[in-house]
Amino acid sequence: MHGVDSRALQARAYLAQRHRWRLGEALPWALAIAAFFAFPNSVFVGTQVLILVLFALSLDLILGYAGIVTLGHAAFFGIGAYAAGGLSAHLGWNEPLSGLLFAGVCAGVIGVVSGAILLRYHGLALIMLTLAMGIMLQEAGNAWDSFTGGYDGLYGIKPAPLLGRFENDLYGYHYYWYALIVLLLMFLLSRRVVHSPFGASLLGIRENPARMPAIGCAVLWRKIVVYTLSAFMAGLAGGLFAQSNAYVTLEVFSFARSGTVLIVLILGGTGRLYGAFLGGAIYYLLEHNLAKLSPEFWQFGVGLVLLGVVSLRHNGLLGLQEHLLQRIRRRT
Amino acid sequence: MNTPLPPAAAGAAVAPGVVPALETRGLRKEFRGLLAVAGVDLVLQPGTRHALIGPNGAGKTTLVNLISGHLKASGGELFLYGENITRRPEHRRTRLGLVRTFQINQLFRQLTVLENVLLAVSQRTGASRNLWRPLGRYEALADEALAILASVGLEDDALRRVAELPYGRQRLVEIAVALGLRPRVLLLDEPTAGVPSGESEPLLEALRALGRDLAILIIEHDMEMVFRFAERISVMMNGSLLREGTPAEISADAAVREAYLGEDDHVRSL
Repeated sequence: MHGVDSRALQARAYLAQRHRWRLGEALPWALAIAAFFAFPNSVFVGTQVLILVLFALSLDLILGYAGIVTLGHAAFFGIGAYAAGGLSAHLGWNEPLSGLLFAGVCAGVIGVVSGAILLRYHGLALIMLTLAMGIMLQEAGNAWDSFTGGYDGLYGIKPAPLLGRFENDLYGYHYYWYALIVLLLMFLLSRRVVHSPFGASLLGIRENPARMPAIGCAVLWRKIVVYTLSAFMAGLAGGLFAQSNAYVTLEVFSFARSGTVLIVLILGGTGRLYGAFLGGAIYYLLEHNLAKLSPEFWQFGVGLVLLGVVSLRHNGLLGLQEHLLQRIRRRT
Repeated sequence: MNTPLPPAAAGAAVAPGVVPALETRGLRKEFRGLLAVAGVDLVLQPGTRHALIGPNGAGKTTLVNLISGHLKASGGELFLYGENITRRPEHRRTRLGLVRTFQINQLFRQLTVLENVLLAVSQRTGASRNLWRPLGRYEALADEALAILASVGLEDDALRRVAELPYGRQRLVEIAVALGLRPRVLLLDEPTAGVPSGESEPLLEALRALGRDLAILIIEHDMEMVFRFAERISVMMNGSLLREGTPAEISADAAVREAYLGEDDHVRSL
């Protein structure tokens, strides 16, 4: 009897540690706050990094947890950007928080509708379909240039001060905190979701999609739910992008943007939430420093690093770090 | 849990007044003009231990795939405790208690044994629709998963990743996952496939310990296991059922011996 009890306790402890907060989790947030004070001249760029991290986090939910591979995630970023931008530029609705929420909801609605169709497909077919969706949205935006401003861009986005007090100042100080708080809220939501039984069923779908119906799981619905949540978050990232830049072009839908967010996540590591943070920071540092070395060929350097990280096959830099820690622990 | 089997249902092919646990009527599957399953009428009595045997390519696994909903039937009907479930998709059939295991392990290899079973338990209870509450706080579900693991002798492997287990124990995980779904009818597709002979004993033990509230259809190539476990045997050939009877009837049947069993040393000695 004693043996069974201790096993149950062990099992409970194991399950509880899945969602327990670790000290290391404070690190990225502490760094984000420290960066604000350490580099006051680069705060605007910092905001763009936070937006990239939020975008990559949204991708991690579907790619890292449910195993849904997409080359068209920029579609939701773009819809969010144009929703927030258009609301202000065309309709004169300038209150930023409701504008941002509108961006997320628009992207989420497109997420449900497109997900219900696309998520019936897997593998190469799904990759091609998501890619096609991104291209079609970009072309639709080009055709409807009275709304989008085409490749010249949408001007006239004038967000009102946040909470009626904090303007989008010249240095972007307020918007850095705005983006950081939105990222924190979305991170907390994601963290909750991936540790829930729903999140566990996503892992099941990633690990063995064929088995899930045989344990009673309506796989398509699970995927649609997480795809919608992911689209909502990508839409928020796009909305923040439009508001902080006060300007949007059709580039938001570009294949390059879908590719970049994938690179960011794979660099950092998929299926662990913090991969988006590490990947976003590394990608920015690479871009920034390599561009100084060679303004034309910096992407070669990014490619080289990606090649190195992927060929090590430990699931990104976070996976590599975990692997090394385990090795050191085994030695001692 | 252990409802005793009504004596009438144990041996008889058709027990009047008893609703079969599972019934197929003219179940068919065509693959590009090829009839893999050619109109099968199969009746499983409640609580029965029913084996489906036949040579390779007879259509046994296809039949299980049709019953579980993994494949769509080309024709025929399917009843679970009298309810017509022909049009229900695979995941709905599972939730109704029609549960299967796979010939080749279909497990979540990177997850622990406990998490594999917990996944099944939380699907069954509907907990898996919850996006907010951490899985670690569902203590009742964890305890249930542990009890299932203990019942098949996997309690010491609960926190090991499936990929780390020897193959024979992975086969037990398949069964534990199925039990997490509280099956009313359990379809076992070659539970001992790939298990070295002599190591299948724990599997047989686990299967024998299952309650009589559960009807089992087992596909198995190990004839010794079939004759030790099954109360009824159906023989399948070329997509059709050739014979059905008790183990004694089947092993004595000349047609069956000639068509199939005659090649098997175990059976010759029976």
